[in-house]
Amino acid sequence: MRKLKFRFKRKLRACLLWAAIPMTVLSRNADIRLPESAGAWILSETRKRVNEKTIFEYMDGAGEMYLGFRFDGLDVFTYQAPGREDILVERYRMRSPDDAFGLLSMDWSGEPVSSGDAPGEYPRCLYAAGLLRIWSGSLYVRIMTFPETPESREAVMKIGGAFIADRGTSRPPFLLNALPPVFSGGWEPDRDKTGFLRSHLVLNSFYFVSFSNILNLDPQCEAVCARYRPSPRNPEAKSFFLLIIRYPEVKRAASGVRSFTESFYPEIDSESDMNGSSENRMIIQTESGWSGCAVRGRTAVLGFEWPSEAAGRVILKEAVDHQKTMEENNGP
Amino acid sequence: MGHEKQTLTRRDFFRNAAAAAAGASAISLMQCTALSQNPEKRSSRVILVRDEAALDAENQVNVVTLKKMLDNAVSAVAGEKKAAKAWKKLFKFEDTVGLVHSNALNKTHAELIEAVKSALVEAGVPQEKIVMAQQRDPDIVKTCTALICMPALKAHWLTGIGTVLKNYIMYSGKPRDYHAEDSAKLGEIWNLPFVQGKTRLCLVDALQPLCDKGPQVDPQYKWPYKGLIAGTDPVAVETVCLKIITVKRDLIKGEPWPLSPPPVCVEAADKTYGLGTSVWEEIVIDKRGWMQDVLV
Repeated sequence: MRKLKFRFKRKLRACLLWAAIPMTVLSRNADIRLPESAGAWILSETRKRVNEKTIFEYMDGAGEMYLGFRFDGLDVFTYQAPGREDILVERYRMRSPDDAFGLLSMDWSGEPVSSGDAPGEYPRCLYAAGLLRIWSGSLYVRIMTFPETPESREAVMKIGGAFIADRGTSRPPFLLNALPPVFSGGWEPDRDKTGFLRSHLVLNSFYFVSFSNILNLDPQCEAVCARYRPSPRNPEAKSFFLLIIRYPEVKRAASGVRSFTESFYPEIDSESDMNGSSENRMIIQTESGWSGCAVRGRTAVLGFEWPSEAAGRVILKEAVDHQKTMEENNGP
Repeated sequence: MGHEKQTLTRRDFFRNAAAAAAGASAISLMQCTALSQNPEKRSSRVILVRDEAALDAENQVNVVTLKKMLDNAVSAVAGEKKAAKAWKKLFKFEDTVGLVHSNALNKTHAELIEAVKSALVEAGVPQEKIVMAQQRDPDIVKTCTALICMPALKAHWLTGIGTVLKNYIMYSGKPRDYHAEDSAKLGEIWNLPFVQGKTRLCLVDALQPLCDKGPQVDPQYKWPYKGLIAGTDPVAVETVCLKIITVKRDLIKGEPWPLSPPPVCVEAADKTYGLGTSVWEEIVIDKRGWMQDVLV
């Protein structure tokens, strides 16, 4: 209980800090005002601007993660203080809030520290061990100092406030609604394992499907995924993974799923097996449970690790029906 | 069917697990040309040295302790009681020794690099013949007669693990060609003519490993393991590194948290490129020093 109180106090302090930030410096390349100082740390004059061509010079081996979303650029700032580790501020400019959300969704661990998030909403800011990650509109921000001290944490929070203050709330990707909130067998999505993506490299970080891009994903695609856990009323059931992809065109969806079935289910004739129903559904027993897929218009639904064929059929049907309902309410 | 392109999928890995007893592997499914080996005769020794005092409360390196750990590790690798003799056994006066460290994200600690340089000089290698060989330009490594592979221990979001085998990626001249599906080929870089056979020591900086989201640092996945991992078999050393990271990940989540994507480069380095053993049973770990939370 004391620990909870302490955490609440820390959160409250962070919220209050962010409400009272003196905005004094207009950063050169965007309309976010960074504080000139944060505790003992002073904003350095040195800035770095990174684009999609130079990102690998800045972070060899990690650039693909950002290019896997729709990336516009990165601005790097540093705060310095005598005798203390620098605070690194990385501001990733993405083309849409969905892309920024996708980056944050790759890891939901950490302490939610943003103010103004309604209960049940995805957190906008997560802090852990010296790193604050923020999704704010089309910005994804990393503010880091390591090792962490109480003083550096406070400074990181103060800087982070600049990326939240006066920017309103950020809406999560609409496509998240395509994930059924519950299946009749008693499975519910694990919020900590729910994500938005556009690239097979990022998909593999959530759930390894294949090293090759067998689903033909690209930045024009949008996809959501979640691990579904059994609900308390069905504790014996196993979890499974669901992936829903919205392709830019109907024919892209068909060819993407065809490519997937040829690679992932090489033992079957995907053409004939997929044509048996109006939603082009298929269910196969694999080495790790039952797997299946369906195509409906521009949308592909794929499931992995279903506990049985019967369960898989029900889940796939309910997932496709959920897409129908969404389309009826919002258009295809 | 019409499926011409062969690609490695999740199912191949599950098949591999089932077929392991029969000697099949995910890598062989990629139709790589496996080198002929006799697994029954293989055995590799990996030295793991840890010291609780290697880092202070602020994770600053205690250089005196680190030097002792280094001496301990290298002595064990060379099978010598005295560190000086061990270094002399591994490196000669006439050698040009390239130090290949992690110089990008999650770097090899500078204190370790300095400790290795000092030990080499004490062993008689002239200062001017010790070069920093982590370069895209292969000319430098071509001048080296010996290499010390000294990466920092880290997971990698594109290759599963990004430690020993990935440490020579710049020598390929095309590092991006060895990510994702082609990460299985990382071992081929070790067989390039100007690299092959030069690595006398693999020395992994496991003072503060990173067990997820590497190479970009997320400090919640770094922890003060305070270790050095050493050996002459790069695949065996990598296999031990992989085990440490895997066990740590499971502990963090409280449930299996496998690396994703899977680190295919490790088995491929064994089965396809013949660089050493990735078979756990063939690896003898010589553990020394601090044993708390040793993980292997």
